[in-house]
Amino acid sequence: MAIDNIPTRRAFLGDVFRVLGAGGMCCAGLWLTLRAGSGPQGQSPQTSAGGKSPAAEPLQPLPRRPGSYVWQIDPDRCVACDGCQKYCVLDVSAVKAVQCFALCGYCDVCTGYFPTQGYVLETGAENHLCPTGAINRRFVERHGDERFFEYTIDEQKCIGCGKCVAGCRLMNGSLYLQVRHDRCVNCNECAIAVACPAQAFRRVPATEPYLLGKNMKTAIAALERRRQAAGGAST
Amino acid sequence: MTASTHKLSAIAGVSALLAVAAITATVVGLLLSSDRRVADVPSQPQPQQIDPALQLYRQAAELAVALEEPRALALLDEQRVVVAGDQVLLIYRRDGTVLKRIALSEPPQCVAAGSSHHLYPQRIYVGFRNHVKVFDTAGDLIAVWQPPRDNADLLSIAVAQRDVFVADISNRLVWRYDTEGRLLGSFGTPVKSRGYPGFVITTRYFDVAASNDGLLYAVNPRLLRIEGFDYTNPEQQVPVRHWGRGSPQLDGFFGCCNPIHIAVFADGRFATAEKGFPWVKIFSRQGEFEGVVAGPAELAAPAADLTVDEDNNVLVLDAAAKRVRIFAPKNSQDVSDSDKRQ
Repeated sequence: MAIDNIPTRRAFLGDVFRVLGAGGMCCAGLWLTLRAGSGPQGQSPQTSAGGKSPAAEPLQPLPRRPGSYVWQIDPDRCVACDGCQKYCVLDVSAVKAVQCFALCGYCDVCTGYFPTQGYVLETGAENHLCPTGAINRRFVERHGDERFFEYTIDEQKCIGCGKCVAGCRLMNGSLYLQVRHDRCVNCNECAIAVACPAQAFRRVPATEPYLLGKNMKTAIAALERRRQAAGGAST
Repeated sequence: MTASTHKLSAIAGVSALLAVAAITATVVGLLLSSDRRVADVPSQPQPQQIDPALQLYRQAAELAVALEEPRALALLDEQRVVVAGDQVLLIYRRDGTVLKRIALSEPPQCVAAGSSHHLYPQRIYVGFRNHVKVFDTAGDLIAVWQPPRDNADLLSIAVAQRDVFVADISNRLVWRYDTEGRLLGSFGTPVKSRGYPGFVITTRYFDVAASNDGLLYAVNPRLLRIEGFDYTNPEQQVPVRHWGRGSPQLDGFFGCCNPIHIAVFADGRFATAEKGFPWVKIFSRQGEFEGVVAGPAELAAPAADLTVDEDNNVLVLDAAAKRVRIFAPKNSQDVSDSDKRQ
C-alpha cells in the first residue's frame, strides 16, 4: 500500500510531544486529586510506613521514656480555630475531637452536630456541621415527646478541625480537642503549638497525657457523687 | 484522504481530548487540594442577622460592678439595684453609687428582692448552694432557710406577694415557701399519668419568675419552653400553661436548652436571655416573639442574669464586662435622664 502525504519529521515530533504533554498533565491532575484525598496538607514527611495514612490505620503508641513529656491541648484555653487541622505535620492531624459524656446533654438538637441555621433534625449529610461526617448520632431513649441522642466521634474520620467543638460550646461544651497519642509523633517543636493563637498547647507528663477542662472536672465529680449517692441509697 | 492523514487526525483528536481532560483534572485537583473539607463552613458559628425593625431596645445606661465574678441581679426598687457575686452583696443606686456592701460567708448563687407588692417590700433573699439567707436593706440577717433535701443546689429565687420560690437544680424541683420560711410545697415532680416529664435540665441553668397573674413561671430548658404553674392551687401539680419552641430562628429558642434566664413585665410579657448566641428577647404574654433587646452585637457572652422594672426597662448583668446594662424601649425617654430628674 502506497503511503501518500508522509508527515514531516517536525510534524511527527510535534504530535508526539503534544501527546506526551497531554498525558503528563493528566497524570499531574490525577496525582493532585489523589494527594488531596489523602489529606489537606499532603506534604508530610512523616507519613506512616508503607504510605498508609494515620487516619486509615492508627500508628502504635510511640514508646515514651519514663519522665518524658508529650504535647496536649488545654481545653480551657482552646478556641477551636481549626489550626490543629491545618498545621499538624501528619497528613491527617493527630488532634481529634473527644466527647465528655459527663457533660453531654444527650441533646436532640446538638449544636456540635447540626449547623446553627438551615438544617432539619435528620442525619442526612446536608445537615452535618462536621465536614467529614465524623460524628455519629445514636438514639438512646425517649421520654414523652423528648428524644435523647448520644453523639460519638469516629476518630478514623475526624480531621481535628474543631467545628463541632465550637458548635458544642454554644450549649454544653462537652466536645473538646485532644492530641491522640496513638498517632502523634511528638515532635520537639510541635507545629500546631507554634501556630496556636491561644497558647493552648503545653507539655504534659507522658504518664498523664490527657487534659480535662474545669467544667468537665466539675461534671465528672458531680456524676461520681450522684453514683455514690445512688449506690448508698440502693444498699 | 490517505491512511496517514486519518492516523494523524486521530492522534490530533486524541491529543486534544487528553489535553482538555488534563486541564480539567488539574483544575479540579488544585481546587480539591486547598482545604477542600473546610471551605464550605465558617470555622466559628455565626449568629443570625436581624431586621433592625425588630430591635426594640437600646442601651440607655450602664453601671460598673466592682466584683470579680458577678452572679445575680435584682431590683430593690426603682432606684436601687442589688448585685450578688464573689462573697458579697452590693446595693447600687442606678447612677452607679455603692449604697451598701453586705459581706457573705460563701459565694451566692442567686438573689431576689421583695417588690412593693411583696408582704415585706425590699427584703432581700440570697440563695447559696444549699440554703437561703434573708436580709433587710441594712444588711441584717433575718433568717436562714434550709431546703428539705441536703443535696440542694439553688440557682434561682422568685418572689411573689406572699410566696417565695426557690429553684433547686439538683432535685429538679421548685420549692415553695411562705415569707416566714415555711415550706408549702414544690413544683416539677414528673406526673406520668398526665404526660408531664418534670424539669429536664442538662446544663447549669434553671430560672424562675413570678408574675402578677398568680402564676409561677419556670424554664424547662431541655424542652425549650417556659411553664406556668398555678401556685394558688396546691392540688395543681402540672403546668397550667407553657409556651416556647426550639428553633434556630429568632422567634424560638436556639440549641438544646434555652432560655437561661427569664423575667416577667408588669403587663405579663416576658424578657428572656439565651446562651449560645446571647440574645435577649421580648415575648408577648401568649409567648409570641415581639422583638430583640440585645444580641451578640451588644453582649459578648450570655447574660449572667436579667430583670425588668416597672418602666419596661430591661436590666442585664453582663458578667464578662462586669457591668449592669440598662436597656430602655426605643420609644421611651432616656433612663439616665429620668434618673437625673429623680
